[in-house]
Amino acid sequence: MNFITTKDDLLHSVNIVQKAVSNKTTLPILEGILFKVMDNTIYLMGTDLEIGIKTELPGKINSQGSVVISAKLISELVRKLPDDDVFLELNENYILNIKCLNSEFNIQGQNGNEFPQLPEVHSDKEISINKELFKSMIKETIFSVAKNENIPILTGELIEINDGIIKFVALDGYRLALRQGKINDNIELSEVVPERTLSELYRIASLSTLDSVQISHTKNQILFRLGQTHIVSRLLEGEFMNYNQIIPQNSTTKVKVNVAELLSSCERASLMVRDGKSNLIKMNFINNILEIKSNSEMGTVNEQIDVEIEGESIKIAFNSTYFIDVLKIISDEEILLEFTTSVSPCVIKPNQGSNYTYLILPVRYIDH
Amino acid sequence: MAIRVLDKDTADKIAAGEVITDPTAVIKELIENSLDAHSTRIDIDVVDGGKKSMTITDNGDGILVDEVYLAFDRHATSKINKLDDLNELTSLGFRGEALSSIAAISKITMKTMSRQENIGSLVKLCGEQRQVQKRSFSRGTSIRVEDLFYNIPARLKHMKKGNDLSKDIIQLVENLALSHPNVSFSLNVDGRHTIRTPGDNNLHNCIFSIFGNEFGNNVIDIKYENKPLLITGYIGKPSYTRNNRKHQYIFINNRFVQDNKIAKAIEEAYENMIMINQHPVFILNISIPPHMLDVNVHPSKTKIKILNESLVLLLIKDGIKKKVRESSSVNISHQIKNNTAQILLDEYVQEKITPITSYSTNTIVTQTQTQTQTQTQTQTQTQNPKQVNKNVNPKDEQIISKFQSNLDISKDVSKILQDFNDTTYIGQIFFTYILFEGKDFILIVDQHAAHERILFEDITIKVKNGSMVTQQIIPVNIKLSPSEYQLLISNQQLFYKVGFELEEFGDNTICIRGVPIFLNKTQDHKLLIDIIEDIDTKIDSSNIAKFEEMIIRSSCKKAIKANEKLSYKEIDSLIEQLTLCDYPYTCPHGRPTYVRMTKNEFEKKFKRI
Repeated sequence: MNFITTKDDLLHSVNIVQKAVSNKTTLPILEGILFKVMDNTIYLMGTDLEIGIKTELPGKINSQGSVVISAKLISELVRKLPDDDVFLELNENYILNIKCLNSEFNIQGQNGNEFPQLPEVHSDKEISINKELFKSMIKETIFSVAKNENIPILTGELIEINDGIIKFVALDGYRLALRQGKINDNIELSEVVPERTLSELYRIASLSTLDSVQISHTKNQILFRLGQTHIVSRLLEGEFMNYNQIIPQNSTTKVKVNVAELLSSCERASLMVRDGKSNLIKMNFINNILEIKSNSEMGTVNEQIDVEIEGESIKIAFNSTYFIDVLKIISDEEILLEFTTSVSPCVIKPNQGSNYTYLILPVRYIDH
Repeated sequence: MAIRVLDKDTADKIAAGEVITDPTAVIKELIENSLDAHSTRIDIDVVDGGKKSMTITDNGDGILVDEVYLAFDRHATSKINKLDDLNELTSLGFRGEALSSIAAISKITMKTMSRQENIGSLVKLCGEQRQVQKRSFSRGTSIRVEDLFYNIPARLKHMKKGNDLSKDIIQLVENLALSHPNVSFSLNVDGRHTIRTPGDNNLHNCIFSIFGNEFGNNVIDIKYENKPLLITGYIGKPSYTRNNRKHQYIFINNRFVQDNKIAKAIEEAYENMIMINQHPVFILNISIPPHMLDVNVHPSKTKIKILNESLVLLLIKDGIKKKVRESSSVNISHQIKNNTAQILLDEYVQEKITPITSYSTNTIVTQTQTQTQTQTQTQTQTQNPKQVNKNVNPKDEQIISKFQSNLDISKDVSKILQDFNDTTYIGQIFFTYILFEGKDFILIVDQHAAHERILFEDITIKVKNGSMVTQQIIPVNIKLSPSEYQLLISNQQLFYKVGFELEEFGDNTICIRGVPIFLNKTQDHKLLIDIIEDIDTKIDSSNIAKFEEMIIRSSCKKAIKANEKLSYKEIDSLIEQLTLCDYPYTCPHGRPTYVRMTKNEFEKKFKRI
């Protein structure tokens, strides 16, 4: 194996595939990145057997071959190289010689043929989705994915496509986040993608200059393609919770509120919440005023916001974190809050349209 | 009182027909006689476990020459005259049976001289033969019993080995010596000194002389009065426990008794502070007016009946509990040289005690009690903001300074604050223990135990106040075994108090709609399953309070994450919360939350000293 590339290209490619490299593995070879030259293309690949990332590296090829190099070492090394052409040559015993200006490295590698292959995802139908929409769909739902593994299926997000509408759904038992958008393909799909895949995808998509992401899937794998970069991930097995059943359709109280005001009030109220004891903020919607209270042994806080209330007044308490998480990622100026009782969920919807639906379950407490 | 034979009526009512079965019984009777005779010194000499000979010598009242004949008659006693005297009984014996029973089965030599006379008597008894001579001795009585059971070969044959008998005798003398610190006991077994107590009326010295230094240093002097009850003696520190109950001595009016109920009540007072299968040590004398007692239930008088027993037990438990908790803070009184600190300490003890009593008697919840509880709570709540204000000092990042300022303004001069005062954080080891360095010692905190204690107290208070917070969840259905289902459904109310919202779903399925929030962390439904699994085996749901505690204990055990790396900030807040605990020294299962090691101990390990 012998090829020439530039430092910038090499760094970019290493950064992409490194995201799939696991640092805790029982298989030592998985701690490395595969460099492979085949069919006039230079490939870089990393995997932890759950996610695999493969990308192409532009460069001038002299001969074929493959080697696995420690991901940690190569990324550190490339980052510190001078800004110039890089010459890579594989010698005997899997020693990779790297030259760049006056620097020369000889790195011990491993046999490239021992590296696991990426699973093949062949599907007739490929869905194309706008990259910016795809990114915001991930960002606006991913915080609601379950952190613990009690219900394994909830550690992923449901991607559902139906009638030209794509939906991302995440829920962790205490809250639900649903984001939807339009696509042009008329395809049906309903799969659960692990949280980690999506968060890596978000980062890789941010690095990419392309406009769209292509998605295709087989029975238990899903492939995301951004130009020459392929991200293959295992899908979560099992049935996702029927989220439509959880979202209440009717409400007795509707509140229109300014997002920025509500967020900063909530954040101030949560200042009283430190290191446990109580993480509650109590909301009282009455006479077009929202009163937010919070108290702990540190002190008390009382906030008031002008709102538009339609329907009955209501007193309800929430875990402040859940509320703040949602408010932080909403870019609209105003939203609608919908309530039924003080122990049933609060639904957050846009004032216009139906791009997103968030649902937060309240906290039951006894007012002394 | 002179010796006289009880009239038949009285004798019949109290007669027990006590049978002397072994040398221990003989020694017990004779020592008790000596004690009843106001002796201040009793020497016991035993050869071959008492089979060969036993000699008990005292410096007591002695027996008048004229009464010596009577002493060995059945139902002859100087201790009572009529049955009613039992109500005001202060002596250990009262039946007048002992000497005659012993005389019937052994050879006795008695030397006695009364304080009131110048001449004493020497009595030799062997079966029907009686020899009495007038002789002069030192004041007191000395009785020598030889050849026990010489005339009952069947019993003689079944006597234990000499060594075993000696062990029993030593134990017996221990009991009697501990119950009478004002009397100097000395026990010789086969010519060897085994027990010698000073008899200076100081129980602590007595304990030292019998059990040695380690034991003596690990007990706390207590005196608790709650009329008509008076408890005095020594209890072991919660950190000093044994794995059997051998070192638990209960005396009622200086009489050794074996009463499991009292022992259990005392052990319950240590609840949450000692490890499972460990037992506290204690040597306690409980003074109860004689009219509340019946000692005449068992020939050997080690069983006792108490009037209003359950009330007395409750009083004992509460009293000991109070003292045990107090003990940790009282301990430092030796360490503090500063007078102001001492005053603060006293105030602290007084203040701190009140909420504890109302808390511990909470099993019988009355309105006033809950009121006082909420009052004390609001008090602490109003106090705290002051603390916060004074504490605001941006440079104050050191744990130490925080504790110091805490120390200045609040009266919480508890032992734990003393311990952590002036210590610097060193680091965390094994992701389990946190080290602090002090002037010439280090403190090792078990973060799990500490966390468990904090959780336990936090949840307990919240549950008692009914202020447990429940996070509603998207309902989860769980299928259980019929017995688990039954357990949950029949205690639904209790689980609700702890923060679980359950609903019957039929067919052994429950629907979980809400989970508790402990310390800023929402728990998940899995916790409920863990709790059920934890308590199903040892279920006793009849005792609601106990059951509730079990749920709480179990839930905080499950809520803790093991092997967690903690940030500096987390450690800071952990220690701060621990210091605010009601009883911060052990986790709810009795493991210590922190230990203290002195520089000395390190130097010893490195052979420097």
